[in-house]
Amino acid sequence: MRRSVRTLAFVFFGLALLLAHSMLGRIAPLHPFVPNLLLPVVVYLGVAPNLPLLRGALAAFVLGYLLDLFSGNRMGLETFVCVATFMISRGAGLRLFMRNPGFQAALLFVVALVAGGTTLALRAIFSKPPPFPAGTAGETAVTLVAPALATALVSPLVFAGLQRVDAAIGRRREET
Amino acid sequence: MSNFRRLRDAAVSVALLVLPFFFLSANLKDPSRLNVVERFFLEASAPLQYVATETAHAVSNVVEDYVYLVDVKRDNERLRIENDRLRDETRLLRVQARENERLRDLLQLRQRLGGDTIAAEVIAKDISPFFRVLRVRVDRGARDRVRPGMPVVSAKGLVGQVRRTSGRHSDVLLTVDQESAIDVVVQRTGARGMLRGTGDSNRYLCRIEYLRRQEEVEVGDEVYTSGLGRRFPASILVGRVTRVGRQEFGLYQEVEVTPSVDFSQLDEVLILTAGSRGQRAQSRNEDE
Repeated sequence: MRRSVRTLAFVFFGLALLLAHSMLGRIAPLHPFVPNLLLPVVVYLGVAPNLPLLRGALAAFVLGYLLDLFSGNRMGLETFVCVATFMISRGAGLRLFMRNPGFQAALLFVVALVAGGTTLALRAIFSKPPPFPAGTAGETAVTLVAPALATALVSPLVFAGLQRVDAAIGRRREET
Repeated sequence: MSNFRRLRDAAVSVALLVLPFFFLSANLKDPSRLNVVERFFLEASAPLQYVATETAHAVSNVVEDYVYLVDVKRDNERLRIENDRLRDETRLLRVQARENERLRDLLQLRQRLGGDTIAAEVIAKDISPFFRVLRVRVDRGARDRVRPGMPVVSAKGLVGQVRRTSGRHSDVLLTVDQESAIDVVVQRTGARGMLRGTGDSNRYLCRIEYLRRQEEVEVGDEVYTSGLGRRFPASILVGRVTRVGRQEFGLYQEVEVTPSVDFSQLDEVLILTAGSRGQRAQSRNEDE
């Protein structure tokens, strides 16, 4: 039960970020530097200590599904990317990279690039025609790199928020 | 953790990875090319999908509405300030328009009267306990060649005459003052008399004295200066007859006149420093 609370807290934190993201889009148009605020959450789920695989995967699934719902994507696209990112973070043992904001940003830049590439690849595979969502190679590069940079920049903040949530739940657990 | 549990978790995790992939492929496929399994899963998940989409839209709308309301609040504040500013401007423009109108009337009066005039502004008013103006002071005095006895007019008609002057200002004796006496004529009939102020502190009122009984005067008749005595130019509106009282005996009738000028709203006046066109014409006639 207590572990569920922790997982639910991460999911709600992700939902709050998603809503903040949609508000941010209204207030300040950031295109093409649109950060994926859920990606750091999913990576954190992958590296968080004492979080069972099943709960983490479920949380990543829900977050991806929410992202699909809110972004109006084809159902399953972001869900798949989120679960895959969680699995990779979990399997690759990325905990080492979480030591300081610099490492966190670098890690998230790479993860965001891979996730963006996966999304483009999935679109390319399943939607015909058009065969590729971006027009030229340059445009494709911008589509991949700009959001990855934005995600890398905001990721230390998201991690700090998640660590606070984790710490708050830990304190509560100790008190009870 | 037991092997079974570990295996189960891994299997479920893989299923969670495969499921969206499966849905994605089914969603993006041409509906005519869906197989039975894909069709079954899509149809089975449709209600859940509908509820989830609607919920997401509702939450998104609430957030958007909140942001919108924040904007509205900011807009309201900005519009309120702008509204206040515009109201101030409108009020100022109204005041300026009224002033402009008064000055235009005064200019027209100046052109009509001819002669030398000085425009003056009312700078002080003596008020009675009934809020009636008893005396006014204007911002022109001896330095401006203003002398006692000079007629004072406004666009609405005769105000009175200069009673005394000092360097930079003058006191005006109003037509309603007891000390004021002006030779007047009833325009409609040509009946003549002497207009005197009643000095009433609660209303603006004058009386025409020495108006013979047989002269025809009615309520509403306009009363003008006659120009006799040369102090006041002829044909300046003084007021309107508001009461006529004829007694059975006696030589004269009692006629009350309400001045055309509302002294309470008096702001600008003209002081006639030299004879007006009418005055000059009359004196020429008299000389001949």
